Amino acid sequence: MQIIGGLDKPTSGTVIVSGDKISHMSDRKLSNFRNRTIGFVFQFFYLQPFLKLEKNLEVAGMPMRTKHKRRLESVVKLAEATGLSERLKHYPKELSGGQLQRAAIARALLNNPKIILADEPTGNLDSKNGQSIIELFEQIRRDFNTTIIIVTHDPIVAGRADRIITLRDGQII
Amino acid sequence: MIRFTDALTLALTKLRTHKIRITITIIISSLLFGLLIAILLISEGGFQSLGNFSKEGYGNRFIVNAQPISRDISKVFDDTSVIARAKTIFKDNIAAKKLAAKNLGITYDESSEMQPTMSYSGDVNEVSLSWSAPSAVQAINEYFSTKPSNDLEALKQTSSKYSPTNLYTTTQKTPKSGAILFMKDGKENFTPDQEAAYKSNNYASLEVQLLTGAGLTVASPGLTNPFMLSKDKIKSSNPDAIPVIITSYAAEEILGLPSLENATPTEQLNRVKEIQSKAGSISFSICYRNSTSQQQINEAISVAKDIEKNKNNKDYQKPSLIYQLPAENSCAAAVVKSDTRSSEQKSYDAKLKTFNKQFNIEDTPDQQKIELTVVGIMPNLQSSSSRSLASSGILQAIVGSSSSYGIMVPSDLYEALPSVQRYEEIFAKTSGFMSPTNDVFYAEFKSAKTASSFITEQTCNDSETCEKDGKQFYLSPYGSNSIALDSAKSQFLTIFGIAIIVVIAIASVIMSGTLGRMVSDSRRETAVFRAIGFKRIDITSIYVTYILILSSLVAISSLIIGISAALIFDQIFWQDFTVQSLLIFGASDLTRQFHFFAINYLVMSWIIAAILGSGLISTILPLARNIRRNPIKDMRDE
Repeated sequence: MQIIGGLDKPTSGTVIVSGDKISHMSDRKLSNFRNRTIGFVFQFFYLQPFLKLEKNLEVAGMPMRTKHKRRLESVVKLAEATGLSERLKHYPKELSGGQLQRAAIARALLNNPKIILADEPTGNLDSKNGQSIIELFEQIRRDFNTTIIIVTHDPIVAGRADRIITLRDGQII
Repeated sequence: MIRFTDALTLALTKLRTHKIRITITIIISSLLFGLLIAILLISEGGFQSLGNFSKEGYGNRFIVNAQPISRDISKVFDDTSVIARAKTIFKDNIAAKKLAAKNLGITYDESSEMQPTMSYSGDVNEVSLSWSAPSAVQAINEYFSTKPSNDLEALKQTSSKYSPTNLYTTTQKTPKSGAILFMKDGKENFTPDQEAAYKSNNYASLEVQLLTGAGLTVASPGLTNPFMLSKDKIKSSNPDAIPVIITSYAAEEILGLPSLENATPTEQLNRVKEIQSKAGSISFSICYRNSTSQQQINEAISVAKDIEKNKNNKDYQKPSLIYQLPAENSCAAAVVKSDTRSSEQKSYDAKLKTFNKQFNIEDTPDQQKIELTVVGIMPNLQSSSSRSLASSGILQAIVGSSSSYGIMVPSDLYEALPSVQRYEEIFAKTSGFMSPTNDVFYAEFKSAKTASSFITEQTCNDSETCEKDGKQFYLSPYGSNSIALDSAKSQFLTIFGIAIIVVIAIASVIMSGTLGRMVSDSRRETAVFRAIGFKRIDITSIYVTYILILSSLVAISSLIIGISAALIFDQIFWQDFTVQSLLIFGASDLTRQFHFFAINYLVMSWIIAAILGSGLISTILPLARNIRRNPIKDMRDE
């Protein structure tokens, strides 16, 4: 998943994402690729503790130098889509686990990426919140036409996917 | 690269972490830089105040004192031609006196004349000239009259390649014969205690100065102008009064003001004001008496004592000529009280007078009451106990500006006096064969550097070789320490520059430690930013913004600490230093104040730049390490 996201480079072979040969890109181009094409969702959310939710979501727009007004419009729209409209003026410590993951997803969506890479997105959540996050992913896939790649150990989550690729000991089976 | 406002937003969040570490970093760095700023403000204030006060007195002037070297007399005393000439003078003199005595019918004892030579070994063939014999002195003077003298012309030539702005002269005026004495409260003290005066360390006292033979110093206007009172303040009506510049202490003495022991700065300032307001109306008298006049006064005193002691002694015979003291305020000659000399004795005395006159032997009393009027006030030459405060000592050592003469007379005013001819009769100009003149010369230069070069290159260091080397003067800085002060100013900036570098190094190490910790603790966050799409330069800009905020906080705190410390220092010391400066510089403008607070904007900007610079320097290493790391590895490690 790190290789698809352009965070890591393969020791051999070629990686092509959406027609871009990312395994041969410079660091600068990779950064642009990650910012425009990929949206990351981590198991531990990784939100800035000293920024309000609104600013946290804006962070993803910073590398593209998107104008603040436009960024804010997107944030409001995404907060609505992820059910966080009421929590925009709150700090991460004031949010629940489910809300934090929704916020992380909203942040990943800010630049309208083609692909969202989610690393164990429900691994840190209870089953109810986990269920709600998967429903949110389905809604995003529908509304934003985004490819969502989820890494999971949970067969229920995997069961909701269109395509399942199983890895065992580093091998696709 | 991300927008500055975004970098600022993200950098500010970092200030909310590691609060204790950041606070300690800010405090230590601020104290270091604050101390530097305080030193800068205080020293700048001090230098500016000194510069301000330097407009008074000799401050800010670069004057070199040129004392002519003494003549090499070691060989003259054994010079056979000079000895022969002295013997001839001696012989001719005796022959002339014998003849004159014979013609006048008076007795003349040639054994009373001092021999021109003397033998130290007892061998009559190994003789040398006698120091005090008039014939020997005359021969030596004749010998030296052919040699070049170290006068103003000589100084002009020596100093010409250094382009002095001015040359000055001071001439010591001491009586040719006898003495001049201070008439305290307008009265003459007929029995001054000279021994006590010599023992006294209070050289500022006019009585002591005159009693110890300091006399008057006639000086070029260039040297006296800094101490002159404004014309509207001078109220003398006697056109023959000699205009003088005296010390503040001497003015206190004449005005009868009590000594200010342990006085407060305000009291001292009031004293300065009082002296300045009254100085223009101060005049005092001195009494000149030649040796004969003094001798007659002494005779009058001792004879009166003898008569009193022998009033019941029938065998006591009074002297035939008795003098009595003149009025205390007259400075007149001793009055003849009784003259019972026989007509023969009177006739003999008259002949003796003719003889003495013929051979320039003084036997006629001469005296003159001379009025002096104050036209200027100089700073005191020596601190009295009441002025031995720390500030006074410091200032005196650094900037003491004084003429070093007790009573100065501006030469232009002196030469314009109607009675100048009479005064010149009273005062001697030359002072013997070792130093042909009492004159001291001065050269003024545009800069401390030129003055220093002139001293170093042209002064006589070894008296034995100077004459041969053509170095005719002992050269030294005069009047003030402005030469040393000028070099101290430039040296201060050099030392201060080194101090800045040292503080930058220390502060950089401290800030680098804090930032290093901050960066290493933020690896996961950096990795997330990189995953979101931040470039290395974006991460760098966040940390640079962070360190600039941190440095700005250090700069603001340093300014607050430095300015507060300097203001407190100024508040404690300004009053005392103001008063001491007014006293030491002899300031005529009493509104001047000495402050230890002034801003040198250029150096201050450098310090602020140094603070920001030390922050940036401290970011280089931790940041270089951080942005090269693999974000995935950092995320996995977390």
